[in-house]
Amino acid sequence: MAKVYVLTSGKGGVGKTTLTANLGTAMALGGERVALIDADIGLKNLDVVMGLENRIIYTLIDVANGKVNVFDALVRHKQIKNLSLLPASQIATKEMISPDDMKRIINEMKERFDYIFVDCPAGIERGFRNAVAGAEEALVITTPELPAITDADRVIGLLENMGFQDDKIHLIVNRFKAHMVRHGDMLNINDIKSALSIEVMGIVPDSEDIIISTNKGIPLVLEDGSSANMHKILNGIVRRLKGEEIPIPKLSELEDKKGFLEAIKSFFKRHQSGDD
Amino acid sequence: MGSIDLRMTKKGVVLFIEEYVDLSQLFADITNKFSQLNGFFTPGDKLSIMIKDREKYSKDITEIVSFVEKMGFKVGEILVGEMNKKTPNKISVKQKLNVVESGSSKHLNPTKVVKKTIRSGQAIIHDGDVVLIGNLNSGGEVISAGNVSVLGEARGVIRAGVKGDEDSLVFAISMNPELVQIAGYVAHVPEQVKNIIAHVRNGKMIFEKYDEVKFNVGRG
Repeated sequence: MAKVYVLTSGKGGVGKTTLTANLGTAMALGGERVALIDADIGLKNLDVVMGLENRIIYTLIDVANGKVNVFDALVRHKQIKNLSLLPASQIATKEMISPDDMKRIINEMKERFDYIFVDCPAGIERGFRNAVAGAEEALVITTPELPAITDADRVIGLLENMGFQDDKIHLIVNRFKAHMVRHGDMLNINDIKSALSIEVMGIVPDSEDIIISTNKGIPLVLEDGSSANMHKILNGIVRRLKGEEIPIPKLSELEDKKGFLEAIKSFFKRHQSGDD
Repeated sequence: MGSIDLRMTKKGVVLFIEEYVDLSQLFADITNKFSQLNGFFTPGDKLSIMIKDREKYSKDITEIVSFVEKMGFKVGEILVGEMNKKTPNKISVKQKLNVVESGSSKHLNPTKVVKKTIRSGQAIIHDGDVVLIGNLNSGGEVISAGNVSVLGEARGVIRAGVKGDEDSLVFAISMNPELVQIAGYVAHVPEQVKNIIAHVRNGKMIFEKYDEVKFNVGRG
C-alpha cells in the first residue's frame, strides 16, 4: 500500500512542482514504485518539469469521469520505469473534479505503488481541497520569506481542521540562501520553526541548477555531474520520508562548494548552451 | 420578533442570526426553533453560527456559542455575513473562523486550556477564562468572556472580557498582537513586548510588565 504525500504551500512560486518532481524522481531512483499526481488542473506544470508533456494521452479529468482506467492514464517516465505521472488537463478547471473523485482515484492507485506524491495548486480553494483529499501526510513547502510563512501557517491550520495530526504535517524550507542568513539578511531556520511551531523535515538551498534542469525537463536528481550537493540534500529528504533518521544538514553543508576547476567548467557549459 | 433561521448550505447546517433585541429572547427563539425540529438533530451534530451584525458578534458570541454547545451541538465555524434571501444556499461571508475543539468544552465556564498553536483562520471562543499553551499566530483569534493568558507568542487578535468585564486581563509571554480588546477598549501594540499584562485602568487600556502591575482595588 502506498504512502500518499501532498506537497502544498498556499502561496505560489515556492517550488511545490519542482520539489514534487525531484523528490519523486529521487525516491524512484532508490527503487521504490512512485507515482506523481498533478492536481493543478488548468495550470498543469508537472509534466513539463518531468519532460513528459508530449506523452500525455489521458488526464486526471478523463479518469475522474470514468472514461479510462487510472492505470491507462498514467504516463511512465522515459528512463525510470518505476516512476509514473498522472497528468492534469490544461483545458479543464478545478471545479470539474471533486475531493471524493481524488480519494477514489488515489485509493485505486495505492496498491500498485509504494509512494504517491500529489502536487497541489497554489491557493486554498477547491484545487487545494482536491489535492489534500486523498493524502495521508502533507509536506508544507515554504520559502524563508514572511508572505510564504504566513500562508504556510494558514495552510497548516486548514490541514489541522481537515483532521491531519501534527505528526503528519512536515515542513520543507525551499530556496534557502545560506550566505544571506549568515549576514542576517534572511530568516533563519529557528525563526521559521518558532513562527510555525512545526518540525522541519528538510532544507533545500536555492540553486540555479534547478532553473536549468526545469527548463530542460529533466529533474535535477537525474542529471549527473550537476550540483552533487543538491543530490545529497534531496536524497536526505527522501530517506527521511522513508523513515530513516538522517540529521538535517547544517548551514555550512547547505552551501554548494564547487571546486575552482568545476566552477569554470560549469561556467563554460552554461555559456555554450546559451549560444545555440 | 427576532429572526433566526436554519439553512442547509455547502458548509453544512448554518444557524443564521439576523437580529435580536436581547440574548434571552434569542435563546428562547433558538430553543423554539430546535424544538420544532425535534428528532431531526442528534447530540454532537456540527453546525455553524452566522451573525449579521459584527458588533453583536464581538459582544455576544461567547454566550451564543456556549448556549448552542449546551444544547448538545458542536460549533464548527463562526461566520459573519449575510444570507441571501432569494437564493438561500448562497451566503456572503465577510469573516470565517473555525472553532478549535478541546476536551473541556463539555463543562462551561471553567477555564479553557488549549495546548496547541492557534494558526491563521482558527479561533478559541469561550465563555470564561482562556489559557493558551502555544503560540497565537497572526490571523488567529482568542475571544473570551474572561481573562486570556497566552503562554507563548501572541501575534493574532485577543479579545478578553467581551461581555463587558473590564477587570479582565490579557497576559502573554511575548506580545505583538494585531489587536487587543478588553471589554469595550481596543488597543494596538506597535512593537513586540515581553511578559506584559494588558488591563484597563481609569478608562484606558495600559500595558505593564507582569512584576510592575498595580491593579485596581479588589484584585491582587
